[in-house]
Amino acid sequence: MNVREPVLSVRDLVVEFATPDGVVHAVAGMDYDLYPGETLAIVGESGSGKSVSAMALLGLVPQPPGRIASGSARLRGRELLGLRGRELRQIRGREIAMVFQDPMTSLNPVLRIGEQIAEALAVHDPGGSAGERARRVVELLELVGVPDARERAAQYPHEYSGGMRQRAMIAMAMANRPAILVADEPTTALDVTIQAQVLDVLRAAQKETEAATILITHDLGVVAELADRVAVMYAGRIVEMADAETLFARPRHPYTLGLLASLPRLDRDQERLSPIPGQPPSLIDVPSGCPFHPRCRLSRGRERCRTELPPLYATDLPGQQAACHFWTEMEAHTAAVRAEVGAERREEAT
Amino acid sequence: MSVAASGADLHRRAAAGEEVLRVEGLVKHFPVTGGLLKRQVATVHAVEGVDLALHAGETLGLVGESGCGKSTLGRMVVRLLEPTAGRILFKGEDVTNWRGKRLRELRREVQIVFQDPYASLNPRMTVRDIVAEPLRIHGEWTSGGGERRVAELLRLVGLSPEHGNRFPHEFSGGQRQRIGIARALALDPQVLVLDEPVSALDVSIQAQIVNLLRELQDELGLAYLFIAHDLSVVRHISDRVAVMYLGRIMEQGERPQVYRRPTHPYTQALLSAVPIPDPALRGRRERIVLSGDVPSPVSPPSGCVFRTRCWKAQDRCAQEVPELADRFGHGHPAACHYAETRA
Amino acid sequence: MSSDIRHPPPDAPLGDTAELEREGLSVTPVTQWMLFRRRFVRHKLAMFSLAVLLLVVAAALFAEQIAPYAFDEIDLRNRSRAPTLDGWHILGTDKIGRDYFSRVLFGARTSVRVAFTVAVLSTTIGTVVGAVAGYYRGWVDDLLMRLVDFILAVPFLAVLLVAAAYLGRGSPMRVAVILALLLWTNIARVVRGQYLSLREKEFVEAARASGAGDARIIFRHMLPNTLSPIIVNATLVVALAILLESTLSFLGFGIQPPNPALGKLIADGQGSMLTQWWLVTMPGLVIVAICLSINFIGDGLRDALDPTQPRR
Repeated sequence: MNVREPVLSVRDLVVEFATPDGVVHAVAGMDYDLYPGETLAIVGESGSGKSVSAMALLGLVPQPPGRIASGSARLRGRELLGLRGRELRQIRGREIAMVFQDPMTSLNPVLRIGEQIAEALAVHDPGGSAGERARRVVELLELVGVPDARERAAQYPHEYSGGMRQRAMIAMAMANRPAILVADEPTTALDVTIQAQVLDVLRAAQKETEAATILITHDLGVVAELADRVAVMYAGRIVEMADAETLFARPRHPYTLGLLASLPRLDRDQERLSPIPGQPPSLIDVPSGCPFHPRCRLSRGRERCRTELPPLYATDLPGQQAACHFWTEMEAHTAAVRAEVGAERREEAT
Repeated sequence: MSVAASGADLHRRAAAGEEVLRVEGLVKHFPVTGGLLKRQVATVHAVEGVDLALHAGETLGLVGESGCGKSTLGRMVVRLLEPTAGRILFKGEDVTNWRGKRLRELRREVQIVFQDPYASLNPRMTVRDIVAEPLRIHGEWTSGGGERRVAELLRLVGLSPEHGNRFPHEFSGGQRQRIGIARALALDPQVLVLDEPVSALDVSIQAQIVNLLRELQDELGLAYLFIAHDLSVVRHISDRVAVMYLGRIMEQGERPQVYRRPTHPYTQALLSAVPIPDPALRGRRERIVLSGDVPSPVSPPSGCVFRTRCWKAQDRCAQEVPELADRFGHGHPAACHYAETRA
Repeated sequence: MSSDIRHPPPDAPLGDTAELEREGLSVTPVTQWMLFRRRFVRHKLAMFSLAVLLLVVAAALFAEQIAPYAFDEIDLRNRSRAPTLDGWHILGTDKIGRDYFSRVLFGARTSVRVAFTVAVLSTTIGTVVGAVAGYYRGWVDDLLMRLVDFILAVPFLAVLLVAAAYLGRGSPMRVAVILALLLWTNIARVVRGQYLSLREKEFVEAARASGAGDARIIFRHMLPNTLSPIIVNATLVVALAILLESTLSFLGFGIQPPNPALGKLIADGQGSMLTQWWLVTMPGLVIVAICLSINFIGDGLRDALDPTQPRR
């Protein structure tokens, strides 16, 4: 088995925000590696820190009031955190590209789509000719499935529908063949049928450019469709990391299980949903020990959960880590919760 | 029927299974004005002839993507919008044109829970005032009884009466939604319209609210019109389902029928597009990817509105509007000339 | 081993304050008022200005009690004296020996009364007009906004002077009413804008769905959400009214003798500005003090009521 070099290595990332009510610990220590060509999904609910962690990579965290308190993020050995000015601009769009949730606010409404993509090309390759760039723009728009690409390139963002705008964003992101693509909730604002189209486009674009992808989302369905590996975040930390199939079938952290058990399923009938009790934690006043313990059904008030912050333990399954002192009890716990939910046998696939 | 007689009938609690709400041929058009003189230049056909029925104790799920008109329909049912045409019947009585005092009486029976827990609560009112407001408006607030009722409502939705002194901004999204539900229940309605009640909430909180809604329905015998775009949630909570597209119902029926044996191409495409949280199914589900975008409701296609994206479209589809009926004996009505289940 | 789940069911109601603490909610409710107070107190300048303003206003309103002399008490032996502690003429005397401190005090009282009356009256008119226009829109809005445009198109100073001369007839309250009728337009526009955006909010729809009538929605539900701009605007109107009233009396319109007015005092003292400096400076200082402090308080209010706005 050949050992691949990660294209991105994040270690001990800590991001804080100073607010009048106190310090918000948005990201409280994150470690992960991203390998070439793979899709890593970072999953979490609101306030988990997933978006902030990605913004830190691209230097998009406003400082002040934000602050990258510590940590490192190395892109092929080169440190990303703390880059400024020209160096930062060289990285953005060229080595790392980002696709945001709301294409309307990330596209310039007064410039034609084709112009914006051409500009992304020009910034990183000033030598090329305008003709070449125009050709490439049409090529990119065709790649992402925009019909009548040549004509459409001359249109403005408001003439595009939501799904097409997102495709244009992906085209712009892919223009310079980045090593890493960061997609932050790329389909959350889209209708279901459009979402399916855009996910296909993402997959195609990835295959074409062989970029490694960081997919940030709260939608476990999207994760199941696209991700090779998954990192689950809670209160600013990664609480579980595993490849997609393992995570969904045999989670080793109670929060992951809680998320899975609270999902209504499209393909089966369930007796009742098994929600996670309580509310998401305040990031100013994070609970002591394991941040999940006040809501954890596995914890049962055990002292260790309250006092000791669990590190990411390696579990019994390859490539999987879970930040839970009692991960060994998860197999049984998972079975019990699933029985509660009363899922019927899966019907024949429709 | 005199007002007095209908008044008594209005507030009588319907027996389980009794029809409480029906809409017939409901239409809503919005004028588009333009130019200096603000003349009407176009019309948005938001809802174009919808028939639905709702019974006590049941949940009718209304699904569709954005712009299909489901929210507009919900607002017409609670009379926040006036229908352009069609009828609304409450327990068999035509209430479409009720105004003033009679409308106020009707409002006690049909209430609404909104989508956005952050915008649907007045930031300058305490939780107690918010929940008590319907009581105050209808003259049911007494110093002792009112307080007790508010405390009872808060407990019913899983909050504590002590929460009454606080302001909405001190609560999380899920808690605010509970407050919204408490407010909707204040006057003991029989019908609750829920407009995307969990869409704005985190996944783990969604499940809490969905469970709460089901418990409340069992306990209070409520009828729900559950409007949502999330097909998984609708599957979980609904007894019957209606699928909307561009202001029209494409397919409706008992939940197992619509989900397991959909016959309308749009329903089939919709179901196939929803990502399922199970990587083992990746690549094994049939995927129908629709081409193109949703047409504008200002100029809906002639005949069947879905034909511009439908892989089965024939000439007939452009000429003849398909009736919502069970033509082929599938067991539930669909608005398609070529409706059939997929093998 | 089966999971022995003793955790309370997810939707269990919370009964005591310990539970509330765990929820992250403090036991004593944090009201908007307390938040506002906390933020306002942080503004040193606004707090200081508040103190100054309260001092001046209190002194003005209690002029009767504080003034050592009547404002028209003539004492020809003590003419044109500079400020001195002798006889408690702490701001000096004027050409015919009237104590200036008393005159300034009573002048300030008139100004303060007029200014606050103008603020209350114009704010009320403007708020009602703006609320109705913004809520109902359509022809009501068009009509009311044309009225606003009309008033704004009118040459302000000319109309003010003419009205003050013919209708004012020297009475401070009449002058206040005239000013109010000219100054309500700004707040009307601001309130209208607020109502236009608020009427689309879901909590307004919720009130309607509960059966609330228009009046209840306008005053009970929407008005509390427009208080910030109204209050800020009202404070600025006070400052403006003081300046306008002083201008009027300086020009000889508006408040007539024997009622002392700050502007008139300045006008009378103009000629001997270099020798009897206190005649112009003292009333001038009072005007400046009131207006400046109001502006600083306005800044502090604006920030405390809406912390998302950038601090200048």
